[in-house]
Amino acid sequence: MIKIENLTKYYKIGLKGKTIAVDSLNLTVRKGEVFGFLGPNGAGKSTVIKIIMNFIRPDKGQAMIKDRPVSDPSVRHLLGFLPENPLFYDHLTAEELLRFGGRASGMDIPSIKTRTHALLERLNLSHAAKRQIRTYSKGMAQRVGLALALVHNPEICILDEPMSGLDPLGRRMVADLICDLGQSGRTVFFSSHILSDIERLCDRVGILHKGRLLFSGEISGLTMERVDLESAFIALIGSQKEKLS
Amino acid sequence: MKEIWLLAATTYKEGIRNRILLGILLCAILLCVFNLVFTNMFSHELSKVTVDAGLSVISISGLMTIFFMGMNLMAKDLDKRTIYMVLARPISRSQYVLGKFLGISLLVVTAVLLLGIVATGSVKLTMLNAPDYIPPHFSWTKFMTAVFALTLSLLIIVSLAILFTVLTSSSFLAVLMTISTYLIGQNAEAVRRLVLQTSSEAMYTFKKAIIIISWLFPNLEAFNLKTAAAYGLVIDKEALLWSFLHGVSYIGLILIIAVVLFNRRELT
Amino acid sequence: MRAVSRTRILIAAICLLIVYTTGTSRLHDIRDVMKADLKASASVFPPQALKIMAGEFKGLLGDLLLIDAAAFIGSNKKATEEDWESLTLLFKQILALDPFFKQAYYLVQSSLTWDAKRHGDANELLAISRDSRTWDWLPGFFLGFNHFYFLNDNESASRHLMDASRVPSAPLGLATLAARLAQKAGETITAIVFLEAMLDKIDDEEQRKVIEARIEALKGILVLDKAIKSYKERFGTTPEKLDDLINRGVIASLPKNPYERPYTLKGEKVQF
Repeated sequence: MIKIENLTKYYKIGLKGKTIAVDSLNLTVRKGEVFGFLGPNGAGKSTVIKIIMNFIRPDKGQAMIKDRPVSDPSVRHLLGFLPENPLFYDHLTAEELLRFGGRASGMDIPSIKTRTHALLERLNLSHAAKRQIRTYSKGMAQRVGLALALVHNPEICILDEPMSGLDPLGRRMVADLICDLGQSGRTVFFSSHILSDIERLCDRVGILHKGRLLFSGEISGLTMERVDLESAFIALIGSQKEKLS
Repeated sequence: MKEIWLLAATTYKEGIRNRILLGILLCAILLCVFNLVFTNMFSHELSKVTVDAGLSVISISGLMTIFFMGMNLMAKDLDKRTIYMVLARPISRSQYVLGKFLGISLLVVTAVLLLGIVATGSVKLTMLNAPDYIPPHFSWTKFMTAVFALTLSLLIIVSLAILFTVLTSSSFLAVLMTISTYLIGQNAEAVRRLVLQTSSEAMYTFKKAIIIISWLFPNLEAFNLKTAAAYGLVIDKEALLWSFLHGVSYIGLILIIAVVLFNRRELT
Repeated sequence: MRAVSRTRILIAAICLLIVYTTGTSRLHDIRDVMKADLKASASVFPPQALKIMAGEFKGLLGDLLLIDAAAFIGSNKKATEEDWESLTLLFKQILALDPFFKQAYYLVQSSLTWDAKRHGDANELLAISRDSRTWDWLPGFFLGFNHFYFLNDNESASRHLMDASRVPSAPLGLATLAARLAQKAGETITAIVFLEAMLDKIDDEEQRKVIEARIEALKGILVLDKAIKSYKERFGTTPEKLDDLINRGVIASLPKNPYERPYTLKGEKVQF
């Protein structure tokens, strides 16, 4: 479903300097799997996601979705996206926001209405459906973002740090939702640095460090020798550091 | 097209709910009341003064809508990354730019309409109070033509505001550049006329530069029919037609440049 | 998909460019020759009100208004009495905003006195400049000139020149000129000196021609006055007409009159 080939991206520093954010990345996410994208802060996870969403352009390589290049706007009919720390047109209410999202993705009004109702109910936001989003707490905004990403029932969900800013209850709610998405045959690609979530939800994981993919595969492949994902992750990053130094 | 309308409507809704518009309108209504009081300080040509002041109030509130709110609506989108939730949809960047232009334009037109009604009221009131001073050739057609022309000049500024927002990464810089362009557009014509009259060799380079500037910047003075409306002067229809074409094609070109630039911009 | 949209953008751009070029060049054609609209700039505001409203941008507003004034004056269009009225108001506004503005009083002198013949207004405005620009003798000089040349009031002219000559940078001749104006009102040679001093300060070709012609005519009178004096000494009577001077061999020919008509003699006075 998502295919990333030889992806490289530099960021400019000042006038001349540049730093590499993503380094020759190859990655494939298969249809119907929940893929966890791991890595310490600044590893380049968000950069990859922004390239998949066509917000920024790679310097080398390409990202394809269902064999179509991501620069094609029609690709985004298939995508549901939740940005990191999402912000919205905050003078709109949750209902209006979801209506905008649904209309932009080509849904008709009645189906938007039923879908909105179901999603807000599911994410425990029904009580605030008619309030402007600027009155929301951080956790509520995060959940509205998730509802917006899912309103058109996308085949592929790309979620950047979906758990951040949520209380334990909210996290549980979102985790269950991701779990359901996976079971209903949707492809989910989400980044996180909360390992326990990944361990519980994902079929496969990719671990990114300093722009390079250190590991890609089933969690069992990573945790074979270790007790759990956390120690496996730390060991992997640690070994990489040794190699570099 | 559907996407553009949707985005325009959302931008419009977001703008309308913003209290700034309310503030601008309140401010403008106060100016209209002031207009009534102010006009009475003149013993001659009361109607001329009230038409002038009324049209100016419309212009000012249009400008304030653009600078305080319109530009904010787009700059905030880029600053706070709210643009992600738009571009994550099957909406192309060109559609985004055009949708924003349309939405902000609708807001400006709303401000002009509301203020137009208030200003027309205050003009009418003054004329009822002092019928002796109505300019001999005054007509509401001319007044409305002036309103239409000033609306078009406001839309030109909206397109420039969009271009500069796309061009720079700082919203402050974008506002500054738009204001400068506005000032140049207002005065380029007078300077152009001035240098065309001189035949001195020493001015040659300067003259060329001014002529180039008069092609690069919109001729906003051509859309200023306030005096014509105030004195009931004859409005040259041909000049009006060419001004209209100049303005509309200028907006189109600026939006195309904005689209091309925006397509290349990285939204980090 | 991308290629298609790129072509579409290109086609749209070309079409718009064609419309823009025709529209703008036609607009320029029409508006370049339009008379600068003075009513717009010389707006309804009394100068003092404008000064209050301009806040800290008085100088800038003054500059902008001056461009309007200059554009109007430079357009060489036949101005109506109403236009001059507006221009006068515009200058009042400019000088209220920025009483130090040099170009403003220059323009006042060249337009309001020479073209509009509104000497009263011009002198009022020049007085503002003179009072503000205490280091500048020129506004006072212009004032003196206007009294002398346009208003035939040599006494006031002398007074203004005397004031101007007290400015430290004033040329030395100014005081002498003032003194001579006071003593021998209307003497030709004084007028010539005065006009030649004025000629130095004028850039406008038209006005220079006017002054040069006047100087030439006055020089002609100077020659004729001398001739009449020697005629009287030789023959004991005054000539009846100027041709007598040639007929009786006092001078070879009459000087050329720049005003394309012969000099005439009225009583003992030569006129051009």
